[in-house]
This record gives sequence, structure tokens and C-alpha cells, in this order.
Amino acid sequence: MTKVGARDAPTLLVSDLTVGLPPDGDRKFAVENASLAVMAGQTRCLVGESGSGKSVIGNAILGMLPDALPQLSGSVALHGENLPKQRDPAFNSIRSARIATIFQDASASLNPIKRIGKQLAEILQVHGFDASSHKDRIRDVLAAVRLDEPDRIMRAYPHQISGGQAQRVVIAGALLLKPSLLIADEPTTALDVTTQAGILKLIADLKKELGLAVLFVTHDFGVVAEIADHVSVMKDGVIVEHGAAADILTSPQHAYTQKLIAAAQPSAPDKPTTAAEELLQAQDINLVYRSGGLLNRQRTHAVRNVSLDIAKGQTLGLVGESGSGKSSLARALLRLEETDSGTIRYNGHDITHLAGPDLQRLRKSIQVVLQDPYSALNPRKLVRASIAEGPIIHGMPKKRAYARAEELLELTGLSSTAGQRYPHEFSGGQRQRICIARALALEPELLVADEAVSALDVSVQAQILKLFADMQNRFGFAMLFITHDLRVARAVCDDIIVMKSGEVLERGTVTSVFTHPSHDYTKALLAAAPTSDFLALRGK
Amino acid sequence: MLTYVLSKLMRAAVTMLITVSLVFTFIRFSGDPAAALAPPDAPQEVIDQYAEQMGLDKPFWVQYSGYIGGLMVGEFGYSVHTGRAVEELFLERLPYTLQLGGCAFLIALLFGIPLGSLAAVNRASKLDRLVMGFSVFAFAMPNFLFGLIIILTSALWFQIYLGGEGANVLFPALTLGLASMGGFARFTRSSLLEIINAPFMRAAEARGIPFMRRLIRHAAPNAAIPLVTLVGLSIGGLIAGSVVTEQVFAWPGVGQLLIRSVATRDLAMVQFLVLAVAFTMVLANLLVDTLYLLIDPRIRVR
Amino acid sequence: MRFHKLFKPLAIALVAIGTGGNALAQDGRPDLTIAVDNLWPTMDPVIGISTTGQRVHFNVFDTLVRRNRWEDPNGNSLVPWLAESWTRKSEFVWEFKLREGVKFHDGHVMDAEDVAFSLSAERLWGEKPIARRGTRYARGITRVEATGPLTLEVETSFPDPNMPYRMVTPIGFVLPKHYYEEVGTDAFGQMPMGTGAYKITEFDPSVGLKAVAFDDWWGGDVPAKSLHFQIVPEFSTRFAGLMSGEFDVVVNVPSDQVAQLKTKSGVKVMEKGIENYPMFAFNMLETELLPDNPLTDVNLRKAMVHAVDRVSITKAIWGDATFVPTPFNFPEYGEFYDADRERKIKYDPDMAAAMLKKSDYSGEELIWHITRGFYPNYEIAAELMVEQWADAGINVKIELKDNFSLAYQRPFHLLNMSMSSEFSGDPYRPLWMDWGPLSSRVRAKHSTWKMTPDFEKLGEAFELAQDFDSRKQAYLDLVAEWEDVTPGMYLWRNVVSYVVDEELDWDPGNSAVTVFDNLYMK
Repeated sequence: MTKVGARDAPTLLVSDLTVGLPPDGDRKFAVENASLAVMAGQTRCLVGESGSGKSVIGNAILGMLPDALPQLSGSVALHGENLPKQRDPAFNSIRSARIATIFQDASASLNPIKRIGKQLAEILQVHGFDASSHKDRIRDVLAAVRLDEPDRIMRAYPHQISGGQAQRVVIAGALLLKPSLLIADEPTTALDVTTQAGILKLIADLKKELGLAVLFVTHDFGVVAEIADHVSVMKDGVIVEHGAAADILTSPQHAYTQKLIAAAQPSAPDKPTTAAEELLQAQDINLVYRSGGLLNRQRTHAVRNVSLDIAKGQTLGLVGESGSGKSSLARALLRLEETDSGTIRYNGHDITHLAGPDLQRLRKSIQVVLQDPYSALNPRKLVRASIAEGPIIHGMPKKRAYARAEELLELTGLSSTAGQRYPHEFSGGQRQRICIARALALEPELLVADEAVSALDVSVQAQILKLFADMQNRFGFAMLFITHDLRVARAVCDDIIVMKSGEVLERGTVTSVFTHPSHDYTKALLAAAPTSDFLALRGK
Repeated sequence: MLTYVLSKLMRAAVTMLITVSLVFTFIRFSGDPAAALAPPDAPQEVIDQYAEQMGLDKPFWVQYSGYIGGLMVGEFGYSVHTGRAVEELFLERLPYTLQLGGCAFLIALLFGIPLGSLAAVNRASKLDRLVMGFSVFAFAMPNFLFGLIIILTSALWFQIYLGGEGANVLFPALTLGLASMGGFARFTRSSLLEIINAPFMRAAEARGIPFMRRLIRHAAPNAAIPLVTLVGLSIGGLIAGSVVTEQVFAWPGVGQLLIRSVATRDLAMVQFLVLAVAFTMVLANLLVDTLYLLIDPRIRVR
Repeated sequence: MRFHKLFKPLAIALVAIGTGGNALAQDGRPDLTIAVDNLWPTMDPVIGISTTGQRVHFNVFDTLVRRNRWEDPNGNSLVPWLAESWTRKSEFVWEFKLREGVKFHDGHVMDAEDVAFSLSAERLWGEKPIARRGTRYARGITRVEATGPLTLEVETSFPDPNMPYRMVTPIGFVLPKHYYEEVGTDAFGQMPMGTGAYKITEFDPSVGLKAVAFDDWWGGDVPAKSLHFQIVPEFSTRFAGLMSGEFDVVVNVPSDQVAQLKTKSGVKVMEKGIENYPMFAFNMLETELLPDNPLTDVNLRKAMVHAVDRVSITKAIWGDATFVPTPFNFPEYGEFYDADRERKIKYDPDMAAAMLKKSDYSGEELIWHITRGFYPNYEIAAELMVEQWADAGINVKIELKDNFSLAYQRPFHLLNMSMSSEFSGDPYRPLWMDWGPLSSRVRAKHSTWKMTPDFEKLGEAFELAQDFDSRKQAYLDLVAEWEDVTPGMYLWRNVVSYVVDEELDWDPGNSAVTVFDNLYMK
């Protein structure tokens, strides 16, 4: 099945691997007859959406399959030598020493109450290295992953370093024993784009320098374009397509691959930009958080002198990395936080200090869709009751509210009977549709989408973005679209504001920002985003 | 870190003051203590003499400021019946309660935590179910009932009396510690299970760290953090439980002193005992907070 | 039973350190262990007047005069004790002649100064006496004087024909003046000394009290080598100690346990009537909170007494342990007691109906304040009575209160209480002290009646009567008036129960006081 080069044997060879699922699973096998190879000095990306079985393969290679997921057949060989059976204690000497792993959430994969230096030293210690040389080796490897101040990092606890630094520390740990295979399981998904770019580059560099074989598990074709030499695409436990990265990216054969790639390159909407009436205007907004008690008061200037306008029926994108102040700004505009200075006008009225029933009325006309569709719905309420709750509170008869809820569910692509089920019966994407239906039930003039698609798989992401656009065309509401993902912003926004450290760095139409970014930070963001234009990138 | 300690200390002092004031007020407004102290149907003159002896004839604020002023200089008052300083009577009884409470605490810790750990490591096994069944039983069993059962059983079956001053501390301690033991076992299990399934434990496995080392060096210290709170809180439960247990086993500790002082309306004694209990609780909380500082770097180093 | 076999050696090993049976002492006398629910925190026999103190007092101290309960459980006869004889020198003055050669536990010989000190104004009847719990017994005393080494005079402000009876009460205990003055009141209470059969060696109000036989006791041989009063608050634990042989005597058996304990082998249960009578008072007053009190009508009060079958209720609850008293006709009053005198108001539903008809009562709810759990079986009896009243058309509602000061809070129609008969030779206390002008019934904030002019007049006559015949007649007249007015109703004579080792030959008589000298114990 796998192309094996004549000259070298592959570092990793997975042959006909089949892994079972518990009897109540949604399919019979977690992984079915999967075969793949990774050569030294090369990266194979294993691509698939969540639940496709790609991480199960990673675990199987490490001998870490739980009892619930038994390896039914097939073999895993490292340098032509079969690995022990699953969970065999003999794996302890293989892990880290010959096969190293890095995970999605690097901060969480470090013991929170042990110093980083100790955690790295432990790897050396359990693999039998002499204690006297630990410090130097660790310092060297921290330098190798481009961490400044290795001594400070060694003394630090995990909560004292950033997510990007944590991932470098984890990579350092992985490289400490000079393994021949690195399994990277979504190692950049939790990171900001600029950090992500750095980590991807680091992995690529190390692969080259150390001749590592890398099995890179991801759901993101943007990442694939950046680093893959070979690609295997997985769907429902089966590898549906594999081949050289260039081939797959340019001429994907399988329909699923085509769909994934298409979803990764959302196209800009061709919406007519008509000069419309202003809906929301904000001027010189400042927001300062104060925390701590009598003795340790702290101030955080979350939003600095921000002004913006949203016209009726238009979408404004608010783009920035975490901590940029974009969510704080949104909370201020929604009047969930009191601003320290500045004015907010809505439909021409000053709402900066609105209170009481007027504020209640305002809230009805501004609705929010949040990132996590799992916690946003009351698990004990029928879906249609959740949707109808708002209109009923605002005086709509119950019967009509329920009918409207069913109508909206159909409009958002669910069946009308979905209203009679509970949230847990739905997938993440479906739940986000429910949340959107709930927001639309109050016929808002302004819809605030706060990272509303960030938690979703790419293909689902594309569907939900399309739903936003459709609904906006149908109902004509304005949108404030908050995201860290430029690709997403580009897909739905008319105008874009880029924020960093509470300040607006750049503003303009989508086209102008994407084609002629004026600020360096915007340029860096665009350059770092792996999916900005990966075909072009491949050509370089 | 200094502010952390200072703010904790300040809170502790305020807690103590509020508790003492509440008790002081409550005792004086729940029936006339002097009348309760005098024999039934005593003439008013006798009641008045008792009131005068205890200073109850003075205005409330005078009594209160006098009492708080006394506390500041370590003057806690005298038992109305024996004329002895209340702290002296308390200190006489304290060793019994410390012995009982200490043994109960040790039993709870030494059995509860290993049992919970065993259950967590052998999750969903027969052992797990057995341990959890036992800890639910231990947790739910009222300690006076358990105490009476073992006292009566040993007396009627084996002609052995387990109560009294000179009796072996093991049985009252077991009675008192049983509920905490069950609580510790259940909490250790859930806390450890949560940690065992944490990403960093999987990461540690992927780094080739052997099972026992992962359990002892990584899981245990992390699981201990929430457990410290429970252990601290359980001190309150032990104090409450020791009142009942001492009563059942005729164990002459502070708990019995408290019951007797309430029954005989020995105001200064009751006030002091409440103060002592509050102090113990506050101390336990401070201890927990300090332990947190030691074991959780996320609080220690920001 | 396999558990049994496994457990026994282990248990024995574990408890062997702390416990041991009550072996007979070498000289053949037993070491007695008495399990008590509590001990009063001070053992001064007057400051510590209480049931929990008197368990000890009579073993350590002697009174001037003693009641004979060893031959007559009701203790109706007086026995010269530390006083060998007494004479009434005038209307107001009594002289006591003391026994010679009585030693305190430290060997010091008792004389009249010790008795004068024990009865002194400073301790008992002055402006602000040290021992306030004794003022009631010392009422009217104006002079106590040692007139010789072994003679003493006591003078009262009113003629008191019954002074020797007062000397059986706690004020009759003789304390050693020299020791008391040396150590002071508080220290004396913690390590007291008397002339009694046992000498205290250890006292800790939290743990118990130990005393050893005082072999120089003037009264002769002391039957037990030592006494150990051990505080065991929980009855089941006291019972466990008895069954395991740790205790010889267990006091305060809850009334609901008695029936079951009687079936146990190796132990015997003793139920003793004591000189205390649970009852309730009718609130006959109209107050601000009770403006239209139907109980001001004597017909309703009598109807209520007629309507309840106290005898059957008492029998059902207590069996033969106690009885329903005829008002103030108590067996502990010797010649005043008349076994043939009957209650005027007996159970009679027809009379109840007739009386009720005569009254203006029209079904108003009558509230009965009862202190929760204070008098054994009171609440059960109350419920039965409320049912019988309901059958008669009288609407009574029980309200349980957590303590007496709450029960005393108006409004109430019926108030629970008990009255002790106090052995003073005649029913002066329960009749005149508990219902007369100085009583709480009349004076306290929770008073329940105003004396009728007749009651007051007859009471004064009773107080003045000096010889037995006129006093008995005055007593009968006063009781007749009381029954005519019916300001309350007595339920039964109170009962205390003991469980003791079957082999112990000891009987306390009708008393909650435990005495272990050679008269009560063989």
C-alpha cells in the first residue's frame, strides 16, 4: 500500500492496523486497515476531522491504546522492528527514547506543580542517564528549541510561561533523548497564529537538523500545506487518500479531501456594499479592569481609545489574538461592562449610560452567539423551549413562539422536530445552529458572534459561516464578528478592525486589509496564517 | 505572599470576633441565664443574686465591652460553679479530646486515603465497588449509633466495657474517625481519578515514565491539593463529632465539658469553649492555606 | 458466630489495659462503682443541692437528724444522727445536743462550733449568703449559737414546731469549720470533707468521684471498701458497663427502658417513688394577653379534672410503680397521711358534662405549655388527657417548649410543673409554700392564681397552729378549700429507677439519693 523508497527502510511502518471500538460506539472500528509509513527526515501529515481516528493511530504507535480500544490486527514497526503489544511495560524504554510525542495543549501536558527543569530532568532520569549531566543537556535542548533564558525557564512552573513557550518546552522534552520518530498530535491548534507559525517552523527545522521522522496529526489543511511531505487523509477510521503533499493539495482525488481543502479556503463574499445608515457608533472607548483587594490592587487597561462604526446590514470583523481586548470591547459595546470613558450611540441615541427598561429593550435588539455551543444551551431544556424563551419573556404567546422556533430551526438547516429534543442529542455544529436560531428568534438588529466558529471542525466551520451570511441576507441584521482567525474574518466581513493590546492597529475593508495591510502586525498575522494562500506558498 | 498571609490573618481575627460576639449575645437573649441557674421556683431575690454574681445586672454594652476587654488581656472568666478559671478547666480536658481527635484523624487519614487510592487505581473493579460501598456506609453511619452498637455488642457478647476515662482510645477514635475516613476515601478516589485522566498524566506516560512513578510523583501531589481542603474542613466535623462520641463513650474531654456547661448555664465556660472551637477552626483554615502555599506553586509564585 | 470467635481475643487484648472487673477487695468488702449521668460541679452539700450532688453528699457528710428509710421506704421517722437529742426551749428556740467523739475525715473532732458554722448567717440566711440554694430551708432563722462544746441553739422569727425536720435537709449537713475556712468555698467544693462513712480521695466534675471507706466513722462498719461515682452521660453506655460487670449500680434508667430491663438476667431493676409530684396549674388569671380566660370559671376547671381518668392513664403508663395522689395526702407525711382519704374530684364523665354545662365555656382552645422531655412520661399522659378532654367537649392544645423560661411565657392556660413535698413533718411546703402568698403561683411573672380570701385565712391559721391536732385540722381545711377552688391537678408521684447487680444487697428506699452505709447496704 505504502510507497517505500528503495534506498531507505521507513522509520515508522504501520501495516493494516485495525482498532476496535466499544460495542456502543457509532461505528465498528476506531481504525480500520490503516497503513502508513514515515521516512527519516520527512513529515507525514495525518489529516482528518475530530473522531476520524487519526489520534487513535498516534496512540497505537505509542502502545497507549486503552482497553476500551483494543488493537485487533495489524502491526507497528520502528526501523523494521515490531513494537511490543499495547500497554506492555517494555514500551517505557521506547517512549521518549525512540518515539517522542507532543500534544495539542502543551501547558496541560506539563505537571502544574513541578518546576520545568525537574520535569525535563525526570525524562533523563527514568531513562537511566547520569544525573550530573542533566542540567547542561537540558539547557542545550532548550536553546535548540529557540527558548531564550533557558535557566529562567528551568526554574519556572508551567503557569509562569506562555502557551508557545510551553509547546517549545514540550518539544524540548521530546527531543531530549534524540528519538527517531516524533508524533505531533495537533500541536498548534491551541495557539495563536503567530505562535503557531513559529512552532511549525521549529518542527520543520528540527526535522531537517536531526533527521527526524515526523507524524503530524492535524485537521487543518493550512498546516498541511506548510509542513507536509506526505499526506494521509482519514475519514471514519479509514485512510481514504494518501500521497505526496503537493499532489494531494493540488489535485485531491477523494471527494472528502476535496471538501476539506475547499473548506479551508473560504472565499470572500460578493456582497454589494451599499452606503447604509449607521447602527452602532462608538467613540474613544476606554475600559480599565481593576482587581485585587485592599493591598494588591491591579489595573489592566483592556481597551484604549477605540472608535468604530457598524452600518445596518453590514458586518464588522474584530480581529486579534487572545488578550488583544477584542472581547472586552464587545462587552463594553453590549453594555455588559461600564466604560471608563467614551460614548456609544445606537440608532443615533446615546446608550453609554442606559439603564433599566431602556437597557432591557436594547438587549433584545442585540443578540450574541458564543464560542462554546456546549455550555451555551441549558441541558435540561428542550431545544425549542430554549429558543422560544426570549420571545416569551418579551411578550410573545407561547404557541406562536414555539411555531417560530420550529420555523427558525428549519431555516438554520435543522429539522423542525429538532425542537423536541435535548441539546446533548446534537453535534457541536448543530448546536451552534440552535444558538443562532435562538439569537434570531428575537429579531435582532445587531448580532454579535464571539469566536462563534472557533470550536468547530473546518468543514462545519464553513457551513456555519455560510449560514451566518444566508441569515444576514434574509433578515438584514448587522453583525459584529469577533475572531482570531483571519481566514474566517475574510469569509464573512465587510470591514475589518485589527486589535492588539487594547488598541486598534488597522481598519479598512476586507479587500484593502488583506491585499494592502498597512501595519506590520497585520502583515505578520497574514504571513503567519497557514491558510492565507497555501497554494501560492507551495509554489515558493 | 506577605499580603496573602496578612489578609488571611485579618480574616481569621474578624471571624473570631464575630463568633464570640454572636455567642455572647445569643446566650444573653435566649432566656434568663440567672433564672436558669437558680433552683426551680427560686424566689426573685436569689435569681437577682445570681445575676449580680455573673454581672448580668449590668447593661449589655458594659458586659460586652468588659468581656472583650478581658479577652484582650487573656482574662477569660471563671466557672460559676467551681470558681476556677475557665481556661484551666479547658486545659484539663483538652488532652483527652486531642488524644481522641488525633487518633480519629490518623485513622481517617491512614485508612481513608490508601483505600481511596486503591479504588481509583482499580477503577470499576470489585475492589473499587467494595471500597466505595464501605465508604458510603462509613460516611452515612451516624457516629452515636455506631458507638452504641460497638459498646453494647462488646458488653453483651464479650462482657467488655469500652467506655470511660481509662478505656482504650481505639474504639471511640474509630467511631469518631469513621465518617471522615469514608469522606477521605471517596474524595481521594475522585480527586485521583481526575488527575489520572489529566493530559499531563498521559503526557508523562508518553515520556516513558513508569506507572508507579507517575502515580506517586505526579498524580499524588496534584491530587493532594484539593484533599488538603477537605482534610482541613474535616477538623470541624471531628470537633462536632467528638461531642457526640465523648458523650457515648463517657470520654471526659472538651465535648462533655461543653454539654455540661450548656446544661448548667456556665456562661463563661460556654463562651470560652465556643471561642476555643472557633479558634481551632480558624487555625485549621490557616493551616490549610499555609499548606496550599507549600504544595501549590500556582498560589506561591505568580 | 465466627466473627465472635475472631473478635473476642482481639477485643480482650485491646481493652485489657484500661478496664478490670470489680474484684472483691482483700478485706472482703467490695469496691462499688456507681454509674451516674452527671455529678454537680461542686460538692459543697448546700451550694450543690441537686439530685446529681445528693447522690454523693449523704455518703460523705452526716446531717444532724436523719430519716429512716432503711426500715420504712417513705422515711417517716426521725433518727438522732449527729444530734443525739433536741428540745424546744421556747416557742422560738430549739436546742440540739450533739454526739460526742464524731471525727471528720482528717481526724479533727466535731463540736458545736462546726455546726454553728454550717448553719451560719454567712452561709445560709444572711443578706447575701454563700449557699443560696439553701435559703429556702433556712427561712426565719435569726440566731444560731454554740452554747457549749456540744450544744447549740437555733432561734426563729416565727414559732416553728418542726425545726428538727429541717435538720434532715441539706442545711443539716455538718461541715468542718477549720478546713472550710482554711481552703475557702471554691476549693472546699472541689475536695470537701465531712464526718460521713466515706472519705473523698478524688473529685473531677468531668470524670467522677472516688471515695474510700472512713474506718473511723462514728456509725460503725463501712460496708464498701470504696465508692467510685463514674460519669457516663449516655444510658446505653451505663447499661453496657453494668452488663459487662464494670458497674454495680446504674442510676437514672429512662422510663421507657424499664420494662425491657426487667427481663435481663443478672441485674435487678428498682423503681422508687420519690417525693416529687408532676402536675399542672390552671392559669386562673385574666391578663393582657388572655383577656377572656375561660379558666376563671371554677366549673370548667372542675369539669376538666372530672373528665380525665388519671388512675387508668397512670396505670397504663407506669404499671404499679406509682399512684395518683389525693391532694396533699402524701405518704411521706407520717401522721398527716391518711390512706383512706379520697380525692373530692374523681374521674366522672357525667359530672364533667354537668360542670361543663354550668360553665360559660364554648369550645375555646386552651393552650398547655409543656417543657419538652423534662418529666418522664408527662407528654404521653398529656396526649391521652387531651383526647379525653376532647371527648368531653374541651379543646386543649399542647405546646411543647424547649425550656422552662420559654414555657413561662404567656399566654398559656395550663402550665406544667412539679412540686416536691419536702420532708418537714407536715405538708407545709407543698400546700402553703407552693400555693401561698410567697409562692411562684402567686408572685412570679408566670403566676397562675390569686389566693381566695378563704385560702389565705385558712393558710394563716395553718401556719400558726402549733400542736398536732390543730395543725392537722387546719391542714384538712386548707386542702378542702384548695380542692374547692381547684387551681391545679396532680398527676402522679414521680419515679426514679435503678438497675443494679443482682447480687448487691442494697436498697435506697423511696429516694433519688443513694446512700451506701451499713443501714442501706448489707
